[in-house]
Amino acid sequence: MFRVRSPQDFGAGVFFMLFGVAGLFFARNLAFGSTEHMGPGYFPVLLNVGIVTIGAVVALRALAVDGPPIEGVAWRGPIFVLASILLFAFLIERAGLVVTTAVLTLVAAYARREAKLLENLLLAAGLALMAVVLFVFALRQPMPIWWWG
Amino acid sequence: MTAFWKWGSRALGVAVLAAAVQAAPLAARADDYPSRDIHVICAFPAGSGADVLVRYFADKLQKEAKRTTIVENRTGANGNISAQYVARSDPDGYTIYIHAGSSTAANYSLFKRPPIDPRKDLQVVATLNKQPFMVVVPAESSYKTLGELTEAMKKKGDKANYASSNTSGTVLGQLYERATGVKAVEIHYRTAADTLNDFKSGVLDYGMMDPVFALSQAKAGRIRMLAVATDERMKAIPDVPTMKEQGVDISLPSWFAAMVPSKTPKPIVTTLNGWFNAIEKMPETAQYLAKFGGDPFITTPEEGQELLSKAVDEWAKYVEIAKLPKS
Amino acid sequence: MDILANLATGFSAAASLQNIGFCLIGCMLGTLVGVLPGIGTIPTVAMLLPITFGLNPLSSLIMLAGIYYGAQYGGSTTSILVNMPGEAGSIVTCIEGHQMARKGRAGAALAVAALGSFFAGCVGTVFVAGFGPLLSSIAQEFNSPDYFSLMVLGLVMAVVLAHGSLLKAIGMVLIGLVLGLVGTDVSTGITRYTFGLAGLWDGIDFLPLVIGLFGIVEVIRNLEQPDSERPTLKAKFRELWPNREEFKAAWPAALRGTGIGALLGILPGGGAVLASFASYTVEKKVAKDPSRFGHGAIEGVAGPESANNAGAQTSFIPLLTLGLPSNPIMALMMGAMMIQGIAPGAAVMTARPDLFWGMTASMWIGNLMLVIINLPLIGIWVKLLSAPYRFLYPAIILFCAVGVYSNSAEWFQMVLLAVFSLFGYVVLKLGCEPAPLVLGFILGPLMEENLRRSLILSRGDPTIFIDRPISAVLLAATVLTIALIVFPQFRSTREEAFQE
Repeated sequence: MFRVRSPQDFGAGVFFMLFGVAGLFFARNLAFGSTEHMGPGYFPVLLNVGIVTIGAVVALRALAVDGPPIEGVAWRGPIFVLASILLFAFLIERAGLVVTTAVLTLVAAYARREAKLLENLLLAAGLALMAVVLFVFALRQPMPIWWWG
Repeated sequence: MTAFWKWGSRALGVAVLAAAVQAAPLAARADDYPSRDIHVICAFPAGSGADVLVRYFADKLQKEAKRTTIVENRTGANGNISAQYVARSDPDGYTIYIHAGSSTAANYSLFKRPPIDPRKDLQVVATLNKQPFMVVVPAESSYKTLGELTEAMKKKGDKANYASSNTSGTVLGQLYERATGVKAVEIHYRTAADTLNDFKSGVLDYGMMDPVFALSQAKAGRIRMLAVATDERMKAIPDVPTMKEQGVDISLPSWFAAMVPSKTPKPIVTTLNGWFNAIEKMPETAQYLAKFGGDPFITTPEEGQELLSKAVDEWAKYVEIAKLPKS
Repeated sequence: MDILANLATGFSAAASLQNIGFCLIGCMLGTLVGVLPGIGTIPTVAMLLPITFGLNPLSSLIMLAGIYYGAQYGGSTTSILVNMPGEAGSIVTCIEGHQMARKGRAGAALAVAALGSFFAGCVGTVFVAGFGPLLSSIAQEFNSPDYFSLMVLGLVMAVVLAHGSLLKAIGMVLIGLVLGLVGTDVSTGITRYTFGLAGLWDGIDFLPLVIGLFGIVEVIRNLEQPDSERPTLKAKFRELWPNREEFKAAWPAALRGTGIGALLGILPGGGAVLASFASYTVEKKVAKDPSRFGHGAIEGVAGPESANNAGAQTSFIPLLTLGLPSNPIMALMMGAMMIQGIAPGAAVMTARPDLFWGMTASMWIGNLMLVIINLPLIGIWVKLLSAPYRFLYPAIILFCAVGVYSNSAEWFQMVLLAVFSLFGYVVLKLGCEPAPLVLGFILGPLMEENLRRSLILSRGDPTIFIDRPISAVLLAATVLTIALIVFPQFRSTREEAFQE
């Protein structure tokens, strides 16, 4: 049977193929047109066929040539960091900059297993103050400070 | 995916800061208006030619209202994002949308599911300017009138090319072809400035361009303006004849307006109309608008609203004629 | 000698106390917005525009221009320190600059970036003064087929950016091109890949894409290491400066970068973006030991930074001589000129020589000021970096978030930021690099547009790309570049095969 000799490349190849197939799938309703009058689907189809091809070559090559493994994934970091960004998106217009900054800081801080609550509360307060002074007062960015007004 | 986000945001809303997120809607009060900063919503990207125009009015409004005005650029979806934002904002006169009224009307027909009905969701407080779309040819070209151009293009048939850089240009191009029987091929450009090299090299026979571009490049001697697509000649450029004068019955004026949510109290609408009309009457405003090839355009809120409804109907027709796809 | 007389006019106009003051304000503001990722130059300039209504034309343009190149300087600072490019021009700086910072050479990287930029700024000024009109006439000769060929050449160069697998780099470029197509198709008005989301109708925004792919991914990557293993930077001041070997490697790179940037900067639409990428490619090709690239090669900072700044300078040429803005900032400057009652274009030079030459002179003054402002700041930046990472990274995430939000005031953009952070993390694990993707993303729509337009104009005949001389030359250069890339690669694969 085949043996994957370069897991990282194999993964990349599969990823490319998935992306390209999805790209082709979602372009299925776009008119292809002709060389003279390229339709909206012409360029996307061309590119995605290219991506699938490259993906296939990369994946096949990974069966033949040795390469590095895929590094382990520690999910804690990405989950907390992404959650802090999404919370910012959700809160900024509803709760204002101060509360939002504090929430972002606290959630982001727990991306580290060793986070200490008191230390991070202080950090959150400091960053909230800085954000208001810097963004609202100094740079006059249009964003609410509190949830009213 | 959408459902997921909706569900997700609701769940989060309950869990986190349930109390904090309930912003108390401020009652619209006309007697002490304006008592705080006024936000002017601009759908154009910061720094574009139209953004500069919006900022001019925001700056002048600040002096009239004696309140700080803050310009917010909420770009996206051809202006729909801004229009929707304003239509859904509190009807208290503190959120004003300054945008091309014609384009706001056009969006109602350009999208399969238009997020707002401008006739019902927005109230025009004042129209701000009138701008013409223009038929232009390269400076080196031998055509001096629209008639000469039409004649020559008919001979050239489908070997002729013309430039457009936005929806209005496309529509004007289609209307012109229908009215005259010209069969030129449309070449799209992302921005009007991109057309210059192709005008110079001679691959473009004519173009349907916006006035800002046409005026500045005509001054620099690179292109010639043959006609404006308005009912009457513009005061800013009195020597350019209209298409109608030259026997082609087309008028596609664009105009800017200041708009607020439709439920805004009448006294506030009247106050705003007064301020904007005062700005319109300043000699420097006429001078400023002339740089964009436009004239001041003073109306009452009722006239403005009427114009907006009319534009919605007209654009429904144009979208059909030009076979524009709906997004 | 005309140049000297003209520059003298310029300096006497620009060197008034008031104008120097506005130049200083502009440079400081620019540095500030450049350092804060995402508080983009464009919103800042737009915000300040009404203030300039009251100033005289020269002062207002000097201040706005100061912000523009101040931001160029500031942008490289965040690229080097926290791997976060605020704009297209500083993406390449991340690649080597941040590697240097990880090795404790942040000071040297920052100093070289500042000095290289200053040098390029000086040369750029002379370029604008001496060859402005001539160069603009070259740029006018570029038509759609030529642009398309230029993009192809640019993309081939993007592949060289990657130091890993060539195939994966090509894949990433293609993915970038597809991402660039999201949104409303310019030519037909049909929306593509928008999944019914209104926030995607105008395409994916540049900021959430790059800040996610570079800035946030970097934070996540750093968090994967336990606190104790994370390198902290405790550099002594002496080490803040580049050492002799670094200087020796850097200055020829700065020279080449300046040339490349000055030439590409004059092309309206995308030229200046290509400059830093092109410079990086060249440096990697001429280096004796290309394997150092990707691990903190100082040439990879000096070259692209110089190219970036030279390009920023010469991109004024199309604006001042043709009235054509070559990027959004230039469009804003054009707006500012129009407000002041000046029609940008060739007439400016003859009708208002004090304005044209005054601005040219102020470019040089501004660059000098920036070097003076930035060099002492290096010590502060490096000190800031030596703060414990657990205090630093929430602040970095905050700046990213506020930057993306304030750019559009749309929460959806923040969701995109999260999506691209995740995407970046996945491709990182798969050993793919984001820089080629970003170049593809920037060039994708331009490429399709020019390809399409060329083919409509030629009525479907592809020979248009070799019939036009400029296009033919660019395509020949592309083939040559491919040959240069592919042959060493072949050799090394063969060697690998032998070893097995």
